[in-house]
Amino acid sequence: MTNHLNDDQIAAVVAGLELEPGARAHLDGCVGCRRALADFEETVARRRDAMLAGLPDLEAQRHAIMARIEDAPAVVGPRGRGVRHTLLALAAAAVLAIGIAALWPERSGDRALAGGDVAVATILEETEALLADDAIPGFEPIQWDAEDLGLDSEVPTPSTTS
Amino acid sequence: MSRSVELPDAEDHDLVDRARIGDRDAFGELVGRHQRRVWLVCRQYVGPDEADAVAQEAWLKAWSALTSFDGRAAFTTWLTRISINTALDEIRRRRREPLRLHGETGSDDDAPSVMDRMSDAAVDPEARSIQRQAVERLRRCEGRLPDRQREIFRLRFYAELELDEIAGALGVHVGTVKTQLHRAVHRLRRELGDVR
Repeated sequence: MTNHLNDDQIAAVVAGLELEPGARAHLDGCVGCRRALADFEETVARRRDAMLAGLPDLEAQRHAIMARIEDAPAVVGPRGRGVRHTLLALAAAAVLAIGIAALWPERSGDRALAGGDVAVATILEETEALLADDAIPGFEPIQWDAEDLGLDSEVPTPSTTS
Repeated sequence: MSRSVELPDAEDHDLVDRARIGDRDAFGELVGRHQRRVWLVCRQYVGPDEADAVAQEAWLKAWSALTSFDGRAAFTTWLTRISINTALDEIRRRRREPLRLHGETGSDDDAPSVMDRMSDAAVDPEARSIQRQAVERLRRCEGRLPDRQREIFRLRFYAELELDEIAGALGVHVGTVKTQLHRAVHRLRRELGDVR
């Protein structure tokens, strides 16, 4: 790129923006463009230096700040990353407490205990009824005989005993 | 962190943790590290005469609010935001008028001190005179920038903040900072003309 940087590009460089590679290459090799850039930056730097000349005695300022803090209430907060974690911990504890409270009557109350027994008995009755129902496929009563049980030589059955 | 780590060697977040539980020495270390930045930030808003007092006030607020610092942003970003807010509060409190950044009017800045404190690098009286004119003109041109552009320009070049630090402190996207800064520089260079 042979063209000099325009005002917009020089402003972009001052502002810390990226230039196109071609423009950057030109700037690196062009004394005139670098001069244009430096003129503005030097003016800004002079103004900054003038401001810095007004910087107060920092050690004195620090002592003043610390003296005022000595008089201020002590900041005592949670160690770590702030109150956010504390609040989260408190919220978790609260949820846990609520959960325990909700479960507690079912474990210790008489009525709840009786209700639990009723429920279990009902389930058992229903299960037995299902098993007793011959109409249910796969649950027909099995007619066992001694041979099936492998008892023919060891134990005489009533039919072989005369 | 272990207490055995010396304060000067500790990271900012470790010092914050210590200060949060009342360790004033740790906070003093933070003050020593960042008080220049706080003063420079305050200086851009309230001017040289009030900057020291406002900076001290910002530190007191930081001390009081330390428990609310959650560590999501860097401590310096959080501190810069407190400094800016403190300065703006002070402007509103003292002047009781619509917000004006320091120097906007062109009448209350440090023009005399700028002249007095100019670098002696330019020993040639004529060159030095040109430098002075350029700086004074820059100051006046800054006063004509839109609020946001002037604020970002000053935070970048006079308070020496990085672009992402400015974005964090002002609560805007870094792209916004770049755009506003680019416009500010472009306008200032144009207005400075042949004096620059």
